[in-house]
Amino acid sequence: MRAWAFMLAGLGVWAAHLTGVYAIASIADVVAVAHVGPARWAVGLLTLACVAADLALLASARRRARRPADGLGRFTVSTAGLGAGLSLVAVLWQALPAAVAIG
Amino acid sequence: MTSETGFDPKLLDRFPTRERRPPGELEELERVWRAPGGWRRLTVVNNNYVGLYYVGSAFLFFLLAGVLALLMRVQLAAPLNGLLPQEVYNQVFTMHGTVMMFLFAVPAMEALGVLLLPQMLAARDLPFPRLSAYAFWAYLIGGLCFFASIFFGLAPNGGWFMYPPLTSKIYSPGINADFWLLGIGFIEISAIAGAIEIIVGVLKTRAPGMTLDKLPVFAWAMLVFAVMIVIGFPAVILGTLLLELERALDWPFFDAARGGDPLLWQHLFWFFGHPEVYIIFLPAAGITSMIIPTVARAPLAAYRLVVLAILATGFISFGVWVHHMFTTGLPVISVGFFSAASMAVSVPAGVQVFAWIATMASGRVRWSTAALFAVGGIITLTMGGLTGVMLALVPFDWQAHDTYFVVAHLHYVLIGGMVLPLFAGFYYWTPMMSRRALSERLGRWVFGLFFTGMHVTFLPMHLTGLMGMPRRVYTYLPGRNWEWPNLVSTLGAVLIAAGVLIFLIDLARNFRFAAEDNAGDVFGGGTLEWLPTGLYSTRSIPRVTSRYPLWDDPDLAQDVEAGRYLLPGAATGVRETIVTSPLRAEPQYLQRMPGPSVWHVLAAVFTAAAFLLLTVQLYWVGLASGVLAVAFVLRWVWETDWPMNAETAELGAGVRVPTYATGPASHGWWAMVVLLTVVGMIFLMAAFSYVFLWSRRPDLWIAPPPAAQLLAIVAGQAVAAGFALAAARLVRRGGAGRVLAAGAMIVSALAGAAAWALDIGGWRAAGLIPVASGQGATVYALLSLQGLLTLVILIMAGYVAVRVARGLVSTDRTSTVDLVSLFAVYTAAQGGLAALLARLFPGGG
Repeated sequence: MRAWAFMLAGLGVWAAHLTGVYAIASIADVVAVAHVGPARWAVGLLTLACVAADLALLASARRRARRPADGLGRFTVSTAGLGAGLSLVAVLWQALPAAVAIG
Repeated sequence: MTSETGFDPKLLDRFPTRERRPPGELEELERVWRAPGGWRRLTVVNNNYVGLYYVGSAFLFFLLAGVLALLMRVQLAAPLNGLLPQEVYNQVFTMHGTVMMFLFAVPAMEALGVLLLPQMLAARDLPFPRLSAYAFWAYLIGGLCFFASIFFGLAPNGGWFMYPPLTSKIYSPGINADFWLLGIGFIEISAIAGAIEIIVGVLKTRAPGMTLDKLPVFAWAMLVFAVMIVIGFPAVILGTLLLELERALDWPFFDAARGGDPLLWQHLFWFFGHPEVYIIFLPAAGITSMIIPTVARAPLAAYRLVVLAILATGFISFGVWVHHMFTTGLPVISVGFFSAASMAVSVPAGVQVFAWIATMASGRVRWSTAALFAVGGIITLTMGGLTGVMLALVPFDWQAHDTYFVVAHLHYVLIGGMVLPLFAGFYYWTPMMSRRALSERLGRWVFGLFFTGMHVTFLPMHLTGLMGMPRRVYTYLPGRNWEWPNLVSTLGAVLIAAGVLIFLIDLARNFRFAAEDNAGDVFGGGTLEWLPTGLYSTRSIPRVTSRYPLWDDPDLAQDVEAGRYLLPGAATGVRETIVTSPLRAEPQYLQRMPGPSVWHVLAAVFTAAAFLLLTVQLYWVGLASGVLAVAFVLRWVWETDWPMNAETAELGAGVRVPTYATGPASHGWWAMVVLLTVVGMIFLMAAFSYVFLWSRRPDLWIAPPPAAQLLAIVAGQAVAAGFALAAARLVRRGGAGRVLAAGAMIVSALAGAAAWALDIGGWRAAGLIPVASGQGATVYALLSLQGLLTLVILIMAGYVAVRVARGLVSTDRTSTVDLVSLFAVYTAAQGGLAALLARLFPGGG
């Protein structure tokens, strides 16, 4: 299970980010806050946390890639690293609407 | 080399063996795996037969839905055409979409999985052959009855997405909508059964040595496809149940006047509906990733990136459902997030497209019919993907929403992403199961007509849509410049039909089913499905050392056929396959597999009957059918988890493995975990519905029952979980342990039932009734779900008790008790969580 968790961790971070921003937007809609500032800050903080998690995963994948490993080991590490990289880009892209749309 | 399970990987170096195989070994293998003849052929469970029946049935539904499409196109060929009256047209377009999505696309892919995966993984069969057969029969019987509704004017008419309030009792008073809700809900059960089979099959029955980095891309795609079904389908299962409950019992989930919200349906439907597109696309992409390397004679470029793209699609596709709801007035910021995600999902698809192009560039392509269909699919999918990115842009979507532009987009994606690759697969894999390959000459005609027809039909629809023609209209007035593009689209549809007709002629001329003396590897494929096979799959199960074993080891086919690899005979004298570990595919144990049986067929027949009888409002007969279906399921599983003669068996070359396993090593445990994931997703979606409806009309919500009750309910569920866990421990003790375990399971079930009764009684005493409000409807929906699980536990506790009484449970054969215990612990946890949610959130009235 550890190998699976490592391989899919980056994509999991993306999923957590999307769930988070959706929840923040929905809560902001329900409580009908007059100012969008709190929601924007919440999205910003969540994005920072997810970016940090992705960077940590990338660093971990890089560290593990230096260790000797068989084919499966290399596959696991590269899938995890690529997934974290994709997640990093997708999380930043996904956070843009909060930065741009709410002015 | 690292080991995952403690198995010494060096033992596999003993293969291929060099000794001669004992006489009679092959004959015994053939006898064990022989398919029954005559009418008993209906009870067959071999994947070769079930897979073929399954593919054939899915293709039949493709043809039926295609005829409906032709009728629509003829109707729309000219303005004010009178071929189909409005009501008939509504039924026809609803059935076209529904049949294509639910009865063709998903089942066709599951069918291919059942047919191909055992050979591709070199397993004797998938781990639950009767489950595959059950899924097939349930699907075929249910699907045919569902389709027949159109001949009686009873077919659903609210669109394949069945939006309320149009489909509510007020606006759809007949049983047409019920046919959709119960029929499709039932077929989804079949899809989930198939998904469980595929997940466990890919993870646990691979040939030894087939580590994850050597897994064929098609198997990766099928794994993610099946996981997506497990995550996505529960949303629509719940949605259909809620809408049916509203229609039948007036529980107002979607009635805005009583605190429901029609948008809840859209959330539930599209949380399934958009991933559905990728659920269909991923296996087809897997097909393309198998065919392109063969026709290009080069390994797939960027294998790791392609696998990552498949995994990423599985994740990101669940984050885009809201793009179907851009025009519903959602908060702008939410719309922005989902717009971003909708664009992001095109990246993994693009990675795969570039990998295919790079593979073709690195080899020399032989332009067989399979290659033509595969490349045609890539071109068409790319075009559909580009219009998809356009639709992900919110302002554009506002303009194009519900116009023919969307119809064009979705057909480009679905035909390019699924239908053309499927035809490629037909041409590619037919020699694996037929004495003759399909005709290359006719195949080029099929491709030419289909591909041309597809673009002639759907390319003008972009224009028709941008000119303002809405979807789902049965006719239009002249003078809007819609005449010509519509006529061209209709001519294109005729071309597609001509292509399909020639394909049928080709099938009739050349397809001759053969499990053994088939045409074989005529295209020079490098993966294991091209090994010589019989009804037992491969004679011996090879050790895999690369992604294209047949290319890298020219002697492999000969050695496998000569029985020089693992399990060259029937080691225990019954059907069996090697169960391997999920990462490194190390042999763990030999699984005894069930043979032909009438019970799963009867279970499927009566399950289908139960749903259909409920649809036509014959409630008592439907209920009786349901009871019979449960009885036949219990009779079917009764024959599983039986004692074996030997504790270990030899796989060859002195390598021995156990004949039984329990816990996380066993295939049963994995299947139960996947099943619980399905149930958990239904619960999660029900909890989402509860919170969502609260957010719509909190003013209608009443205060929960007193807090003391909550403590008692949670304590009751804790007792239920505790006794279930105790049962799993007690069964491992000698002496009276088995009897005590059965007793503990019964106490667990009764404690869970008592907690549930207390929960429901508390709400009734508090004055909440289901028809009162969105709160009433969702609270009672959560309670109903819990009640259903509790009933299952009661039945399963009784089943355990009977098995203990019959001496079928022992200290070293504990799977039945372990799995029931696992289910009971989950049920108790869900019961506790449901009570906590409904009574603590939002708390006050």
